[in-house]
Amino acid sequence: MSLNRKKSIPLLVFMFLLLLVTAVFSLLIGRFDISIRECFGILLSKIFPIEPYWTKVQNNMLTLVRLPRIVIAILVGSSLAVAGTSYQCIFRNPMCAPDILGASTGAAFGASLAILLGKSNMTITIWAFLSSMVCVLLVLFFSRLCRGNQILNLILAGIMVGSIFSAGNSYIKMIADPNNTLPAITYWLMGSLSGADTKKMSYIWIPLLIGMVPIFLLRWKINILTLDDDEAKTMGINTRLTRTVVILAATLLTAASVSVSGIIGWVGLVMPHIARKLVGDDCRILIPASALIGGIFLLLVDDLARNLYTIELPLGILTSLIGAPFFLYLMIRRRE
Amino acid sequence: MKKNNRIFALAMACLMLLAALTGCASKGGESTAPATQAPSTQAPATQAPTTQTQAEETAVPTTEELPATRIFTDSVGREVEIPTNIQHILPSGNMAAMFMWPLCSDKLASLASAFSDSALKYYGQQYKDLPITGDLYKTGSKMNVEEVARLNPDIIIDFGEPKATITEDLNNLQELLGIPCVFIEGSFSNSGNAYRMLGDLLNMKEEAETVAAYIEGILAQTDKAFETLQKKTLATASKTDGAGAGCIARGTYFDEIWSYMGINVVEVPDGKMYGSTTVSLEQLQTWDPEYLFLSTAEEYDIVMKDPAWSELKAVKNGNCYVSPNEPQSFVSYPSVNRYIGIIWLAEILYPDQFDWDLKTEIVRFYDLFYHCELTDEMYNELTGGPGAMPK
Repeated sequence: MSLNRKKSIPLLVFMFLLLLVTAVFSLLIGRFDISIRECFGILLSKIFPIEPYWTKVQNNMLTLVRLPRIVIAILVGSSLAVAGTSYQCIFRNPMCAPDILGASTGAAFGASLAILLGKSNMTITIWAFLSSMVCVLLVLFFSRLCRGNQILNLILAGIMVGSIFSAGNSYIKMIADPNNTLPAITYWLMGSLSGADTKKMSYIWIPLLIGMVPIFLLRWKINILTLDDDEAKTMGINTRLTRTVVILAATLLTAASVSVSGIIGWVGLVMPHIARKLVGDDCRILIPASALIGGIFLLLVDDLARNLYTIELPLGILTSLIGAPFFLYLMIRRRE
Repeated sequence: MKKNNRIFALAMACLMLLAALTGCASKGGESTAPATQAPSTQAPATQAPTTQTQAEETAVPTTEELPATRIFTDSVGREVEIPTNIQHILPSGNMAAMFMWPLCSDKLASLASAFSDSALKYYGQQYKDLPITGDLYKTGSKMNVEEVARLNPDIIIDFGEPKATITEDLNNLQELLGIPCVFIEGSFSNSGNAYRMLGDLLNMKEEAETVAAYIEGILAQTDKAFETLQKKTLATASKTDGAGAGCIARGTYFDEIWSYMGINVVEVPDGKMYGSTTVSLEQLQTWDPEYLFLSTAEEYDIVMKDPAWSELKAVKNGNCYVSPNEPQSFVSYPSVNRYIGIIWLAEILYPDQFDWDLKTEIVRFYDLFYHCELTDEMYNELTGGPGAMPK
């Protein structure tokens, strides 16, 4: 079923170009009026000295609002899709999503707590990230204590620890002030990039890069992990070590993503499947393809979120509304 | 062949998403038309952008007597350079809009969320097409920064109790948009001064003083009466059923007016954080308040008809009430609507202590706060619901 590698390279290049085109297209659209000429002028003025023929607000809207959002949308979309693909391969389960080990639930708890205590946006992001990592580390710790099937233990521990954090989150929602705090928490849980600014852009790439690199380097080993543990071992792979490294890397991707965007549940589950339908199951190709498709998808969805109405729409709603019918279409087409 | 299928699927994916986008882009284009026209129904607002650009242009030359901008210190001590002549205001949320309504409803550039048709009857149909920009803080509808930049108001005004991050938030927004942002602190007891500050901001000191004096006049009368008066016990109830209700707990954000006008019997630990606390009917029966305030006519019906509620003192004595709620309830949203709420509650709870004529006061309030001339028909509709008026 897999495409052979040679054939799939042009497809990856095409997707990459498509991502670039989408990014430029996204820069040009927005509620605020900035013409194509002004857009390119503002961007080029960052490199070449150009006498401004645009206003300061136009400059701010493009460089401080649109640009960071576009960059973060691509990063978050790619990261969630890559994390989803990695989890699905490692657990040999197509229903796995990046929150299988409680990364999202953990982040939600941390963010809710920070919102409840009236912390600043930066603190909300950091708490979400830390809480997410703590949650997954607890899962790894407990699964180590158990005997038997390692994968099953991980998933069960994930469900249990996740449910503790989720209970904490429910309690926070219950005691939150329904006038200010509760809607803020709810909105965070629906996911949005409306808070994406240059500050977030300046640091979010670091954890994402740290998470992305090991997965990309290990992607041929992930292929082998999709086999039985025994078979993998006979091929000279330290399954436990590889699995732990990939889990940690994928968790880092998820935690960092949701900490800036809030919970965007759908991307990590379905983008890997769309990628799989296009390039096949070989992780060497599948993982870069997931990254590109995830990036394109979330970028386009975020374009809708900021353009459709005069108010911002939460992403969680849009990803499902647009993604699910499209995925169903792909499934049906495949049958034919 | 399979490869072709894949490429086709990928192309379809792009097409679908692009089609969706261009579809909504053109939709966005259409919707901008009424949005930009919307202010033209208000004479001052249409002039706003031009006056502002003029003001900016003439900032340096001294051709005009008044400087184009001046420094204004807001409630959290931020010094903000504001235009001297403010014509186009963006409220940070509906609470800010409600607060500003008496002085400058005609200068609002947008609303946080649209008014219902029934509310528009009181506010006026000319506000039907105001652009919607969402709340700055309250979420579920988050402010769209580019849309705000597009509307280009002279100023953004936030009102209420200061959030912990207010200074940072407003400074960031101001820097981003190049539009001055100010915060005016207002609470139940100091709205008068909040209006004076707004009046100073808008060069409408006289109008502001009228509103401030009205508010302080009411509070002075009730404050004086409560020095000697024994307050009555009460409870609020919403989402009532045979087993209990959601009550506003003592000491919460929503409780202010209730604990000011009476003794709210609903005392729960950690009550400070709850908005609506679920209380069992048994517990309510134990507290047994003299008065019960419900939020809707349906709940009033349940309470009056369900035998489970019949033994409550408030129900037995017919002391159940529902506040009129157009365009805003008298009591529930914690904003300036509560000053008519005070009068309404005073006439229900302590009719002998106060000599307000409720109808005159309601008509006066609607004129002053909503710019709405209440006809007899509107008044009857407003106050015609079950339990809406004192017996």
